[in-house]
Amino acid sequence: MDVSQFGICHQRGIGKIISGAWVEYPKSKQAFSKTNLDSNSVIQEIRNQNRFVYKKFFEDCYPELVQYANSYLFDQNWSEDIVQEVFIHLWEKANDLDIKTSLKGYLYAMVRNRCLNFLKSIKITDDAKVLDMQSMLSSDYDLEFFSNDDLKIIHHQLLKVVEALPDKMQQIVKMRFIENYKYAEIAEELGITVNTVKTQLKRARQKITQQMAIVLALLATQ
Amino acid sequence: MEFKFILKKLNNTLTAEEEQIFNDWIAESEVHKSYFEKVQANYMETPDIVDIRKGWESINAKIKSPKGVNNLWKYAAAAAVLALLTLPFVLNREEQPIETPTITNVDEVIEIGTDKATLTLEDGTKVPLEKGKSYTTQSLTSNGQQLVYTANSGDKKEIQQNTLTIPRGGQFYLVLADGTKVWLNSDTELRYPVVFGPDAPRKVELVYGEAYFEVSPSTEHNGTHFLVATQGQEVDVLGTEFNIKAFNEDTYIETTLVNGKVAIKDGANTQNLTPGLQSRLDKGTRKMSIAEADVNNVISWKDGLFSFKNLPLTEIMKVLSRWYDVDIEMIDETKGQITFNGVFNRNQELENILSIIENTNEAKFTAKGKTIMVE
Repeated sequence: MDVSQFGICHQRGIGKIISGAWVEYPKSKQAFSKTNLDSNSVIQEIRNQNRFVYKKFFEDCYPELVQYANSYLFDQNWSEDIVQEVFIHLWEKANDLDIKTSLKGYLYAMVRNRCLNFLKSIKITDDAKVLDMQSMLSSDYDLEFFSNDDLKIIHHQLLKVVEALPDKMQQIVKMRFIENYKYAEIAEELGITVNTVKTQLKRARQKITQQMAIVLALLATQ
Repeated sequence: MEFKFILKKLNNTLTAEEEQIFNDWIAESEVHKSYFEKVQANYMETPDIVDIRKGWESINAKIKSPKGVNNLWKYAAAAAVLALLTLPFVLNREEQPIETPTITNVDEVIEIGTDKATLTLEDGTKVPLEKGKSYTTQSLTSNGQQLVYTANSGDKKEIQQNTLTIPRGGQFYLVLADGTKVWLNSDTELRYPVVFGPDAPRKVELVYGEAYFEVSPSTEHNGTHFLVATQGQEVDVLGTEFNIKAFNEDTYIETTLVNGKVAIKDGANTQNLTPGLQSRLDKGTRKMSIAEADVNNVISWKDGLFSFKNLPLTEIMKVLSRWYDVDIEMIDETKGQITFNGVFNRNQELENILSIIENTNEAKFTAKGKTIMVE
């Protein structure tokens, strides 16, 4: 362990030694896990049953995961239950988890699996990937866990539904969700601000949802 | 059935054949119907604000189950084995004669603190609480790692007092009959009634030590205040979160407010605290001062961390001695004044922490049994 940074340091703020790295506490409580702990350190601390880090991580991810679940279940209570189960699983089984991407991506994947299992239990399938596509559109997080086959269908559907959108909006949606550009990259490429990108995407989402009924006819039949 | 059919149904664009499939599906079960209605009601809606606090409370209650604690125990056991393997390395640093037995008997092994306490009932009966020992009566249940009182147990005329004592090397979690949650640190004693009367203030006594309170709001208890008495000081609460630190060796009582509002009373002197403030009452002169506090730093212990901020080594060693149940001997007194910053997980070997401090070359530690010498 690199310990050179632990010492007499009057000027320095309070920090945390995790995996050898000194991490400064930010002023605000909420920013703690978001800015200061990488995915590996978080899972390592959770494996060590560090409740503090676990709680911060929970506070950081809970709302977006509930919203994500809600885009499959359309019921906030069910969504909260599923996300809570996933977090409990994380706490109890942290040592058995084999996380290849990021911890957050892993949680998204677990939430989606549980949602799809629930839908399966009520005999709902989504071969047309309407739900996957819509949840992808409404999530700010880069969902990286879809299989190539799933992605093909999602992209196919997406291309159809964006046809009804204005050109510029269409372009932004394609760059974001098909070519996987980050907000900043889209902004730079098109010479607009990141805020404009976000606003355009938000409007695109609303339009797509509203027009979903109309565009349904366009969706590929499976 | 494809999800798409639900959207088509909402838009009246199902074909006759699809309509049949849809009708069969929805007639099959109440849950099917309920899901359809939820999609219908919420498809266009943006979701409500998610209540993070409520979500955490729900999870927090569940991960305290024996399962979660077992994991913790496994970890502690593995760490204890590690201590046996690695301790001689530290001990030999000071070139002690090799034949000196470093670890002679099990009692001398420095262990990480665990959940443990002694419950003293009204009649003086002492009940040891630790993992694997569950204890249940009419008014309480304990799995050995936490203690929960269940409200409204009968006769309110004669309210019994219980005392929970946490030894050095221990910590405990307690839920009082009114739902107030209390985290108790090592070397701490709390005295409280088994049930609270309906109209009188809910009064408990922190005899000594450190405790973090999440007080169940007055609005849920006929407006009754919650009072914590500590060595002459009284904290008057309406429902809030705060920490009181008053170890026997401390010369002052520190009360730190995280949320809500409390009044600190000492005799005729009353001071109000707002969140983020800390009062410090001198046990001798009874002088009270109030200052801003680093709240995260103060309450980190309850979340399993040691958080040292510009803290003199003597103070750091006091904190460590309580959790690892070791004695400290300052051979070189001047070292005690050196201040350090750092945060450590409490769930690790003392030796790890000491070796990090030692690596600054500011102080050296030698362990002899359960005594740590500092020079």
